[in-house]
Formats: sequence, C-alpha cells, structure tokens
Amino acid sequence: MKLLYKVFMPVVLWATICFPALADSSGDDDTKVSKTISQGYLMGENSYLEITNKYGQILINNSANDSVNVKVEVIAYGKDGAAATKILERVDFDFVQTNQYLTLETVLDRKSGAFKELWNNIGDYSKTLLSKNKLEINYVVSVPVGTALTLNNKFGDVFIADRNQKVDIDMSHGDLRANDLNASSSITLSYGKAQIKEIKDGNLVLKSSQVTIKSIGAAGIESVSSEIMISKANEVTLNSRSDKLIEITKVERLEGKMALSNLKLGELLKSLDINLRYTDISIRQIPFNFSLIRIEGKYSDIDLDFDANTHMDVDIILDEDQTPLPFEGLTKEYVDDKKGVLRLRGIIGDKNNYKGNLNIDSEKGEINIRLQPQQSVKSN
Amino acid sequence: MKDKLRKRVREERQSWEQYDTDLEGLWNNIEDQLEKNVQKGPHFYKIWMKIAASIALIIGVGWGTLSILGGRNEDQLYALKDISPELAETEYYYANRISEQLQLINTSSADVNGIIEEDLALLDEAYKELQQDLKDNADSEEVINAMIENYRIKLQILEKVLEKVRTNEKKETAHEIII
Repeated sequence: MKLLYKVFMPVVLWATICFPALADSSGDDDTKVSKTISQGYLMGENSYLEITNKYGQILINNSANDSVNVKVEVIAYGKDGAAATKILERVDFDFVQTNQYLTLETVLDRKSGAFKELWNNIGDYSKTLLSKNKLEINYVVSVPVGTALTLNNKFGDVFIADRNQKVDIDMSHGDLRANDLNASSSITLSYGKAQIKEIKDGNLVLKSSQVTIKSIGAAGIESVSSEIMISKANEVTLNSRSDKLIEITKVERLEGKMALSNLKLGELLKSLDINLRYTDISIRQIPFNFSLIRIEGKYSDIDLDFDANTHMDVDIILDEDQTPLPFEGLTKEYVDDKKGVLRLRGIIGDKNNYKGNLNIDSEKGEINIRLQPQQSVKSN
Repeated sequence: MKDKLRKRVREERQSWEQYDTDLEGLWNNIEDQLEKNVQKGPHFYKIWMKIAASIALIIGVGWGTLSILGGRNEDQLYALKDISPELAETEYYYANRISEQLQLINTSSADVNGIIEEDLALLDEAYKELQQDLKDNADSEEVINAMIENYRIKLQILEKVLEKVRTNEKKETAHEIII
C-alpha cells in the first residue's frame, strides 16, 4: 500500500504542478486561485472506490471502460492572491490503489505542524473566521457502473448516475441527487436535501433533511426532524422521530414506530403494523383485498378510508367519547369503565371478498373510519 | 617446562625487585585524578542544566505568548458568541427561545421529554462537530451558517412539539366539557 502511495503521489504532485491556474474572479472583490489534478486508474472486476471529501461537490459519472478517471479542482478564495494561495496550499490528497480497491481522500493541513498552525493564527481568531477565506474542492469521477462506491462528503453536494453495485453514502450539509441505485444502498444524510429516482433496497438514515424518492423497494428508514416524500414503495420499515411529514403515495407493506411525527399514505396495498405516539396517520385508500392493519396509538389521530366492499375482522380499543364508527353489528364491551375505554369486535362487510384484519388500540386519539367507493390514487 | 620456568623465577626474583613500590605516591595520584573528575562533573553538569533550562524557558514563554496573541488553543472549541457580537446576539436569541419552549413543554402534562432529549442530544452532537469544522478555517461562512441552522432546527422541533401538545390538551379539555 505504501509502495503504491509512493508511486502515485509523485504523479499527483506532478499533475498539481503542471495544471495550476491563477485567475482573478470577476464580479466580486475576492481573489480566486485554483489548481486541477487529473488521474486515471485501471480497475478490475468487483472493484471498490471510496471518496472522502469536504468543502465541495462529488460528481459520479459512469465510465464506458474499466478505469476510474478522477479530476479534482481546488478553488481557493482570499482577500488577495497571497491569502488565496495560502489556502490552496493547505489542500493535499491521498490517492491510494491496492488491487481492486481505490481510495481518494482530501487532506487539509497535512504539512503544518502545531507550531506553524499557531503562528498562522496569530491575531484575532474571530477576524480570521470572518475573513473571506473560502475553499472548494470539487471531484468529478468517472466510475465503471459495476464498481461499489463509498462516499463521505461534508459541506458539498453529491451527484450520482445509475449504479449497479452497492452504494454507501454518508454526507452532511449538502444535497444529494441520485438516479437508479440498482443494488443495496446505504444513505446517511444530515442537514440536506435529496432527490433519488430509485433505490432497489437499502437503508436510509435522515437527520433534519428533505428527501424525495420516486421508487423504493425494501428499505429501512430511520429519520429525525425530516420531510420524506416517496411516490412508490414496496416494503418499508420506519423509525421516525419528530418528522415534519412522511408521505408515501403508494405502499405495499409498512411497519415501524413513530413519535411526534405525521404519516400520510395515499394507498396502502397490503399491510400496516405501526406504533404511534403523538403522530397522526391518514390513509386515503385501502383496497378491499388488504391483509392487515394494526395500529397502536397514543395521542395519535387515525383517519382511514376503506373500500365500501371491504370484508374484515375488526378489533378496536378506543375511548368511548370517540366519533361513532361506521360499523354495524359489532359487540361492544368496556375494557375500563372508569376511564371509559371501549372494545369493539366483530366481522363486517361482503363475505365474498378476501377477509382482512383491522386491529386498533388507541388511547387519547381520534379515530375516523370511512367505507366508500374508491378511485385510484395517482403517483407523483 | 613449567618447572623450568618456576626455577628461573625463584632464582632471578631478587634481581627484579630492585625498586620499592611507592604506595603512598600511587594513592596520591589516584586521589588527584578523583578530585579532578569530581570537580569537572558538577561544573559541566551545571552549564548543561543552565542551557537546557534557558531553552525550556524560551520555548515555554514563546509558546505561551503565541497562545495568548493567537487567542487559540488546540483543544479549544469556539461557539458563535466567540466569533462576533452579531453572532453572539443570534446565539443569545435562539438559546433564549429554546429555553422558553423547553420550559413550556416541561410544564405541560405531555410525556415527550425522552423523545425531545434524544433529538436535542443529536443536535448538540452535530454542533460539536461543526465547532471542530470551524477549526479548519477553510470555509467558515458555510460552517457558521450550519451552526445557526442547528439552533433554528432545535427551535423548530420544540415549536412543533409544543403545538402538538397544546392541540392534544385542547382536545382533552373539550372532551371534559362534553362529559
């Protein structure tokens, strides 16, 4: 590994020296200095690429051959040429290839020792922080579509074309745009926005983010303080806390737990098994052939629209001061007559249809259930 | 062979011992040498100690002065209030609003403290990471904006929780009135 590093670093340094560009930016007072590094690596089958960057974009294109081509542009802004160059010189890179593994890493302040750093920062530190120093480190990388990817980025956007191998992204304070992720994917997004066309399966960890996904297969979603819009989902496991809204236009199966959030489903095709605390849920359309809806809710309003022909086994525990439910012929008994907790049980609907199960255990929440003819829900 | 050698030694012993050993002189010589070494040792040791102490003092004073002038310690992390009076004001505003909202939530009957604590802990952790990023001094504007955003998200979460809690309390009161 060290040998490869020794071989590649001079090439990188050579590229750095050969392609520097100095130009004053037009339009503002800052001076802009830049340098570009270009490098190519031949990758075998089952190859793996890891990129770690900060303060810039990562753009992943598909390469037509077996090689990875890397182009990094570093742009530094300062109050004058000397200040900008000083920032530019702080950026270094570790590009290391070991067999089919390639890692590309941005390194800040590799050369500066503690004394030099201290010397560099003499003066009012707050002034230094509020200076016009700005740095952009932008990667454009062409990668074979079958190469597995790991991307770590902070303070910058990530763009990814279609991928057929595993993709693992951990990014914060930047936006993500991805096309079809056709293999298992793991995405951790903090404080950013994401637009993803398709995720075949994988895990999403979202912190204070806004995410739009057109289609998702089997996925686990762990989210905090986020807004998630999914057009079509197959199997989703949710762990949601303090989310503004999770909206899924059409979902086959959904399970999980939510607290202090808000869940809106356009159409639930098969099953729902969810625990809600201070989380309202609404489902606009439940077809007659659904299999199971199980909701345990505390301080959570439940709003469900069933098909008029639905045949189901009903078991609902609710507060007696609830809005009347549109079911006839159910047995009614008190679970706790002092607290006014009721249990409604029975079988309703057209017996010629497939029988589903509806189990609700609600405490301090409103339940609204309707049985009516349904129209199809359009995906976004 | 051995016997011949022994015989010769015995015969010629007297001729070899024609000079008396000056034991006193020998010991004086040894003592002189010892004294010289003892005098030399502390002398050089003291000089080296002085040089080492001077170097240490110069480094210490220099480092201390640079630290004070630079106003920066490697382990020290900076909050918004340390950067500018305007940012201090912003931080003060958000910290106050957050504290108010937390108090209101705590006085309500809602059982949400555990959830809120987890949310706030997550944001505190993110803020500490941003403080580390600020030390990069590479794109401070971006980092400072993220720090302000961190406060804004905290406040948003608490406001949303409070709204939810109040809606539930209103509903409960309405039910009690009906009963």
